Amino acid sequence: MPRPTRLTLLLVPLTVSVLTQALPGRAQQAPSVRFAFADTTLLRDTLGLSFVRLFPVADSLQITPDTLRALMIRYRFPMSRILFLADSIGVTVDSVGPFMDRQKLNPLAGGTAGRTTNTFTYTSGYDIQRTSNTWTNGSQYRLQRGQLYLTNATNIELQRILSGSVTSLRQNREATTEAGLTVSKQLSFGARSYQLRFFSADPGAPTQDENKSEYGFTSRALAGGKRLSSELNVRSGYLDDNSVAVIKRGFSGSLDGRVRYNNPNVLTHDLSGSVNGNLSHSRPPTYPAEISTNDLSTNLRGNLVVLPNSPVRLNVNYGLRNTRVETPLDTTHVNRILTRNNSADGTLRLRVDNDRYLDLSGDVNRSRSLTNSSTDGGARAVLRWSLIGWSVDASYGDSRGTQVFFRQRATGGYDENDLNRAADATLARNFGPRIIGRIVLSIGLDRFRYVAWADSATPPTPRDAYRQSYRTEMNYNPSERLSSRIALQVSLNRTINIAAATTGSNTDTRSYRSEWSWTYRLMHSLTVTQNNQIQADYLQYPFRPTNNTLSLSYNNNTSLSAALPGNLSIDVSHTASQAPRGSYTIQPDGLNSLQLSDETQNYALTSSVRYAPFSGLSIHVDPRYTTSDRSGTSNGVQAHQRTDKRLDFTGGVDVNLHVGAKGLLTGRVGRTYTDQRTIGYTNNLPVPTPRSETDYWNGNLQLTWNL
Amino acid sequence: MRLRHRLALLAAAPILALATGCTNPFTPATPEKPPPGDIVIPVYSSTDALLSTIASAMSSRGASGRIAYQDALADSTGADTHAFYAFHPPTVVDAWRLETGLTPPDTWTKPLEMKCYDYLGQLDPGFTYIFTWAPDDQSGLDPPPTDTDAMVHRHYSLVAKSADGNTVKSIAIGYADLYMQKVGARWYLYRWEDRIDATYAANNPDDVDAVCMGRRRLNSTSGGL
Repeated sequence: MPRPTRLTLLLVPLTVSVLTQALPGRAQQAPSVRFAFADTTLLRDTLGLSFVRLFPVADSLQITPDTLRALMIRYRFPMSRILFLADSIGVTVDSVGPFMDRQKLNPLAGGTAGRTTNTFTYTSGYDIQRTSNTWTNGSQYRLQRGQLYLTNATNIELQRILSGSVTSLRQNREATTEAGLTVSKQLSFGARSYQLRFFSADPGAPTQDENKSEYGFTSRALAGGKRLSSELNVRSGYLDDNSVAVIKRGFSGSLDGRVRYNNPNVLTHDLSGSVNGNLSHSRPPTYPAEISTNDLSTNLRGNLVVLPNSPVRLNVNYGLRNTRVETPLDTTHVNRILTRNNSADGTLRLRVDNDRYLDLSGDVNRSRSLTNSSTDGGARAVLRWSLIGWSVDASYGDSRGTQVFFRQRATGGYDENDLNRAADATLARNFGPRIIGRIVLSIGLDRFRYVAWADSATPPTPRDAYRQSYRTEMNYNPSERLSSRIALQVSLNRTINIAAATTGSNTDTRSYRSEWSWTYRLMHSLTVTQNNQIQADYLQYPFRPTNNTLSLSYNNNTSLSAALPGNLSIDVSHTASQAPRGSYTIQPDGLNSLQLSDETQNYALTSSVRYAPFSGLSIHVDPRYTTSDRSGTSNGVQAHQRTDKRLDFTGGVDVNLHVGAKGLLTGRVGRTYTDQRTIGYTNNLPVPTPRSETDYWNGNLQLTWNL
Repeated sequence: MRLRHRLALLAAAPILALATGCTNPFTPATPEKPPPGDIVIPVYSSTDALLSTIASAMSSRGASGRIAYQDALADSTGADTHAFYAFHPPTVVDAWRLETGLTPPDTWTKPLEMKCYDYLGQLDPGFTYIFTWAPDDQSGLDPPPTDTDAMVHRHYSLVAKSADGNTVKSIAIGYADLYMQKVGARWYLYRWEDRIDATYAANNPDDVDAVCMGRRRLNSTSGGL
C-alpha cells in the first residue's frame, strides 16, 4: 500500500513553483476561462491561414479544434469562408470540401448553364518515402458552350512498395467522361463513360487485376423554391466488369437525390438518398457458363432541425444503409453478402446562450455483416453553465450494446453485452486578474458480459473496467513575459475480471502526477519554456500482493525558442527522463518495502532551424540526438542491460510556390539520416552490436495547373 | 434570472442525488476469489511477453493457466484476423496413424488445442510442470518482425518434476516455428508449426516420453495412445 508520506515528495515542485512566481510585472488581461488551457500550438500560422478564434468556433460547431483546423488546411478555406459555405449550402462544416469537389463537374452547378466556360486543371504529384513511392496524375476538364457541356475527370495512381527485396505494385487508373445538353438551368441530359483499371501485384497475396467499363445515359434535375429545393441525378447503362474473381456483364444504374425544406424559424429538413445496383450475367473466369446475379445498395440519410433559432431546439439525424453483393461461386451457386447499418440520434438543446445550455441526446445503432451483428443505444446529458463565478462543463453518458459473433469452423458463437457509463465535470474560474484555476473530475465504468451459444465457444472472460480521476490546475500570468502552470492529477484504474480462474490478474493502478511548467520571455525574440513532471504509478494485484510494483518517472523538458530577424527561427530543446521501477518485498524486519529492480534513463537534445527567405519557401534542418540507458536486476544484483545511442538528422525544403499565373507547386522534399548503435551487457561487460545506418530521400511534391 | 437559477439547480439535482445515497451506478462487480494454486498473470503486450505467458500457462495446469493459454491463441473474428492452427511433423502423423489405425483431424484448431491442454495436465498428477523456450540453433535467424506480424523459431521443452525433485520426466520436446499477429494492443499466436528434436531423440533413445508436441496433440484425440 502506498504510504501517504511518500506523496509529500510530490509537493516539493509545487512549493518551489509557488515561491518562485513572485516576480514583478505588468498586469495583463487574463485569458478566457473556458479556453485558457487549450493547446495553443494549433494556432500557429500555416499556409497563410489564420486560426484566430479557432477554439470558440470549433466549440460552437461541436467539433474538435484540430478537425476544424485540418479541414481549413485541406481545402485551403479561411475560417469565415468555410462557415459561410456551410451555411449557404446547408451542410455540416466537414461536408463543405467534398460537396465543392463534387460540384466542380456538375453542369447545373453555379448557374453556368447557357454560358461559355472552359476550365482545365492538371495535378501531378510524387511522394517518396523510405519503402514506397507513389506517382499521381489527375486532371479535371469542363467545357460549357451554350447548352452543350463536356466534362472529364481522370485519376492515375501508381504505387511501388518495397518490403525486403520484394516489390509490390498497386496501380489504379480511372476516367469519367460525360457530354450532354443543359436543356435549362434546371435540367440536363447526357451520355457518360466510366473506365477503371486496377492492378495489384503483391507476392504475399493473390494478384488483383480488374477492368471495368460503364457506358450509359445521365440526367440531372434541380428544383428550387424559397423554402423547398431538390435535386435528382439518374444514371443507367451497360456494365462490363472483368476481374480475377468474377466477370460481370449487364445493366447498371443509380439514382440519387436530395430534398431540403428550410423554414428558418420553424424547421429545416435535409433528406438525401441513393440507390445503386446492377442486373448482370456473371461467372468466375474459369467457368464457361453464366448465371444471373444482382447487386443493390440503398442509402438514406436525413437531418431534421426543429426550432433552430429558439431556446429549445431539436436536432435529429437518421441513416439507413443496406447493401447486397452477389458473386458466383460456380455455375449454380451464388455467394451473397448482405450488410446493414441503421442509425438514428437526436439532441434536445435547452439554451440560454453559448455559455449556458443543457443538451439531452440519445442514439440507436444497428448493424449486421458477414461475421457479426451489433445493436447499441445510449443517452447522454451535457450541461454548460456559469454558477457563482465558476464556468461549469459536465456530462453524463450511459450506453448499452450487444454484439453477436457468428463463429465459423464448427465452433460456437457468442454474444457480448456491454455497458459503458461515464461522467465528468470541469470547473474553471478566475481568481483575480492573474490566476485561473480549473478542476477536472471524471469517473467511468465499462462492463462486458458474454453468453456462449455452445460448449465449443471460447468467449473472452467477463470483466469490468473502472476508472476515476481528478486534476487541479492553476495558471498564473503575472505579466505578458511570464506565465506558469501547476497541476496535480490523481487517478485510479481497475481491471476486474469476474470469474475465479482469471481474477489472479486483476489490477488496481493508482497514479499520482504533479506538473509544473513555465514560460519566460528573456528578450524580445528569445523565450524559454520548461515543463517538469513527476509521476508515481502503484500497480497492485488484489489477489496476488507479492506482484505489486511501483513505477516512478521524472521528466524534464527545457526549450529555447528564438525568432531572429530575416525570417530565421531556432528552437533548441533538452529532455531528460528517469524511470525507476521496483516491487514490494517483505524484509526480515517484517516490513513490506520497495526494492528497485530496474531503471531507464533517456536524454534527448533536439534543435530545429528554419529559414524562410521569401513567402512560399522554407528551409529547415532538424538534428536530434538521443541516448537511452537501461539497467535491471539479475540474481539480486543491479547491472547494466542496454545502452542505445541514436542520431537523427532531417533537412529539407517546404514549398508553396506559384508557378506563373496558373500554377501552384506545393509539398516538401527532405533527406533523413539515422545512425544508431546498441550496446548490450553480459556479466556487466559491454557487447556492442553493429552500427545501423539509414539514409534516404523523402517528401512529396504536387504541381497543380489551371487553364 | 430566477428561472436560470432554477434550471441550474434542476441540472445539478441528479449529481446531488448520486452523492446523497442513491445506488452508485459506477460500482464495479465484485470478483470471485481465485482458486488456490499457481496463478498465471497473462501479458500479451509483446511477442516475448506472449511466449512467456504461454510458458507460464503450460507450466501451471491451473484454471488461470488454462484461461491464459486460451487467450494467447488467436481466434478469428473477422476477415483480417487469423485463427489458430497447429501443424504436426508429417513423419509423426504417419507413425501415429500406423500405430493407432486412426485418422488424424484434418486441421488442428483452437478447441482441439484446448482439449490437448487438458490432456497434458492430467498426464502426471502430483508432479510440477516446467515449460521452457530456448533459442533454436537448427534454424536460421528469425525474419525481422513488422509492427503487426512476427515469426520466431524456438526450441521448447515440457518436463514434469516430482515433489522431492529426484524424478524429472520429459513430456514434450521439440522445435516450433511460431507465427504471431498483433491485433489492437495485444499479440496472439496463430500458427504453431511443430518439428522434431532429432538430436535429443538420438541422445536419449530410451526416453519413450520424449516426443514432440505434435505427437502429444494427436495422442490427446486417441485417449493417450
